[in-house]
Parts: sequence; C-alpha cells; structure tokens
Amino acid sequence: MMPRESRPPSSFDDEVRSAVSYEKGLAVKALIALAIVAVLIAGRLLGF
Amino acid sequence: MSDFKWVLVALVMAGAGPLVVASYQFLLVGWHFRRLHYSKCAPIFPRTAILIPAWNEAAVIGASVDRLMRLEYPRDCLRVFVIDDASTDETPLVIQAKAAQYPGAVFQLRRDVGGQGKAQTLNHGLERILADGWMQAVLIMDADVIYEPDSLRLMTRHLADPQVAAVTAYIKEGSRPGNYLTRFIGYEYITAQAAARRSQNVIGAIACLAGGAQLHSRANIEALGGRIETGSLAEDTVTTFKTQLRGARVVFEPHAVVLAEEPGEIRALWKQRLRWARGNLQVTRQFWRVWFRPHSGHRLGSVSFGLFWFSLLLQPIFMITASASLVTLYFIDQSLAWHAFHALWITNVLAYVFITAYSLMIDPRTGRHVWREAILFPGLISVVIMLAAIAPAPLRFLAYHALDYLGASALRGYGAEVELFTYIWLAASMGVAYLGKLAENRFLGRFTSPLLIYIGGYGPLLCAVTCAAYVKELRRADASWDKTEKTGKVAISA
Repeated sequence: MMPRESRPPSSFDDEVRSAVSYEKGLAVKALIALAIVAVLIAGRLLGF
Repeated sequence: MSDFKWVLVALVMAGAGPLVVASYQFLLVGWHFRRLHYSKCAPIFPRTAILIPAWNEAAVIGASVDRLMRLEYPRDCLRVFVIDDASTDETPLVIQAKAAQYPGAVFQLRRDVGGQGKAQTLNHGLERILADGWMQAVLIMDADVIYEPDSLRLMTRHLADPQVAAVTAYIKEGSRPGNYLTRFIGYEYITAQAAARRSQNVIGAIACLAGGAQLHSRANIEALGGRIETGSLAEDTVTTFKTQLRGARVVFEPHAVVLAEEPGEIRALWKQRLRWARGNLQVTRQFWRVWFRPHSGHRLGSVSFGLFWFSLLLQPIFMITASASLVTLYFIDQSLAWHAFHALWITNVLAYVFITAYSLMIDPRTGRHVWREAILFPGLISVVIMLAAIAPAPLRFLAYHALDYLGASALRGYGAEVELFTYIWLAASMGVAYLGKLAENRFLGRFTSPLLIYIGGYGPLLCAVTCAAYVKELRRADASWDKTEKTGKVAISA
C-alpha cells in the first residue's frame, strides 16, 4: 500500500528549496574557513 | 639521516593523521549540496510505529510521548509503542496514563524479565509490530529524546525513494540548563553529527543510524530478519552496516533535529562512551572483511569511509606513538625532533582552525552556546602549543614578559624541560583528562574536575575512553548493557 500523501506540494517544495539553500551556504562557509586557514599560513610565512 | 630516524619522523607526522583525515571529512561537507537526496523525496506519511525501549524512564518518558503526539504528522498514521523493560520505578504507570490519554495511539508493551539490553527490548517490540500489516515504517528512538515537530516528516520523505531503507536525524545535545560537559558534548555533536554525517552522505556510506533516531522502512526490518542483533554493544551500528551491506541506501537528514539529554558528569559520560567505543571495536572485528575493499553493492568498503572509521578508532595510538617518537628523537637528534614537532603541530593547528571555525558555522545556533568549549576542545595546553607553533615570536615575547612580571625570569633557563614536556603532551593530555574523571567525586572535585578537562581537553578525554575500550576488549571484559541515567533536562527551546 502506498503511504499517504497529504501535505500541499508547494510547502514541500519550499522546504526543499530552503534546505538546498542552506546546504549551498555551507559550501560558502567552507571557503570562509579555508580563507581563515590561508591567512594563518600567510601570517606564519611572513614571519610571525 | 638513518632509516630509524625517518621512521620516527613518519610516526611523529602520523600523529597529525586523524586531524588531517577529519579536515578531509569536513571539506566534503562543503560538497554536500551536490549530493542531496531531495530530488527523489516526496511528502509522504507512511504509517509509522514508534518504538521506545524504556527501563526506569519515569522522569522522561511522559514528556517524550507528549512531544511525539505533537509531531506534524497525521495522527492516524502514528502509533507509539513503549516497551517497558521490566522497570522498577513509576515507568509502567506513566505509560498507562499516556495510553489512556492518547487511546489508539500509545501502547504499553511490558517485558516481565528485563535488563538484557536494548536490542532484546527492541526485538520484543519489533515482534509485536510485525505481527500485523499496519506498520509501513518504524522509528526507533530513546526514551529521553525530544523530536522537533517537523522532524519525523522530514525523515519519512526520503522513504519515497525505494532505494532508501533507513533515515537518521541530527541528534543535538539538548540539556537545559547545561554545564561545561554538556557544552563540550554539544560541540562534539556538531562535528560528529552535523558535519561527519553530511560527509558520509557525500561518500554514500553512513557509519551509524543514531540510536535515538533511526527510521526504517518495513521492508528493511523484514530484510534484516525482523530482529536487531543482540550480541553487540553497538546494535545500532550493526543494523546500519547490515542495511548497507545488502545494497540498500541509508540517508542522514540534517534538517530533522532531535534533542537528547547527554551526561552532565564525566562518570556517566565515561560509561556511555566506553560502551560505544567497545561497540565500535566489536563492529570493526565483526565486519573485518569490509574495510578498504571497494564493492559495487555498497560504499562501506571505500577508502574514504575506512579512513574516517580508523582515524577515530586508532587516534589514541597515533597520539601515543607520535609522543614516544618525539621523545626518542629528542635524545638522538634534538634538532630533528624540534623540526618534526613543528611540522606536526603546524599541521594540527591548521586542521584545528579549519574544523573549529567551520563547525561553528555549520550550526551557528548551537555554536553560540558552545564556542568556548569548541576553542578548548583539544585542551588549554594544546591550544597554547598550537599558538606557539603558528606564532612563535609573539608567544615567546608574551611568555618572557609574563615571567618577568611574575618575577620568575629564572624559569627562562628551563627551555629544554619545556621542550620535552611539549613532546610528551600529546600522549599526556589523555592522562590529565583521565585525572579529571578521577577527581570528579573527590574533595573539591566540582572545581578540579572541570579545570582538568579544560586543561587536558575533552578530545583527549574521549581518546582516554577509547584506550580503556582497547583494554576491556583485549581482556574480553564483561560486555553487559549499562544504561545511561536520564533525568529529563531536555528543553525544546534549546
């Protein structure tokens, strides 16, 4: 038997869009974290 | 340079291995948006039986059931089965009250003989719900966890894909008011759940369906023989592995949030984590044919998954061998030891900064509560060593001025001793964290125990637990189920 489907599709689509957007944001945050590491490396190389 | 020295240098650098692997794992989190499963999801509401094993859970079970009744899920598609494992407290009365309050939705299953472990208790419930055809999916949870209202439906939507056999959620530490230990655990769960599980989604192999939140399709439970394995301390991990080994997919849903009460005392944490660590060692042995053997039917044999698994499991060994190698090098080639030490700790600090900064951004809401514990996760002394590695000149300047200010300039002459101490520290940090456990129930333990954990590190404390697990497993010590005590401190507003 197929499980019941009762939620309006638009709401489901909105939730998925929001989740995808959050996950894409994590890619940007990874770049920010890497940038912090790059600054540390640069600081170390510049003689700290 | 002799071969022996090369070996020692390699062993020192292997000490950075777990953090390097962890960095790789975190990098994969940034790729998660490319591996999302949502295109195969649909807003479905399978008839779900919720199984809650309960032994002396009177303090928490009532609130948990109430929360389940408030889930954004059709009431006629939800049945809660609380399996009372021969409780000796008020648990049966609480369950009966809830069954009367929610007729047709909450059921009490009583075992007359209890204490045989969570798997045995769950099997009692599985037998009952498989006896008729009502159940299309089963959610296995712990008595103390609190589901956010949308969590179950966020999980069930993945079951629209017939390839998906099981789904797990993001378990967050939810004790309020918390203490220093629950804040450490809160941060740990960002790394171990929100981050690590996302990266496991990316590689297509999930290490563990969290015991507090595992949703299975009926087909999966039937394919597993309708029973949970009872011979392991990590029955949830065994179930996860068996599910994937039969070619089915397991998904982590990071936006389905479940709050759990975690131990607020080291003694209780130690008991819980020892069980987990021993369980993981048992799983490693049970599935020894799986590791590092890529297979077309599942991803558990991938190199990435093997690295994730063993870098954690063997971390104490890496730490101890790195320290021992540094000390040996110190006595045979001091200059080489110093260079190896620098290379090790510079690698460590770069990985630490990346992981800590990224973790706090992955879950900023939790991060706001736990940022101090995030910074001090490796321990205060390790943080100072990392600062010395990445910025030696400013730290030396500060240290010398501090010594002058304190009138202890003579200590400047103890550079060699300090050097040796820092070499030993990687291994010794586990000992200091262990002292934090020993101090907890002694005179002034309320102050000294947290102090030792902040100095030695929460990470090293977990490594000390893993060491204890090695010893217990080698001795084949008694592996009876030892339940963590819960008191009902979880707050949904966390």
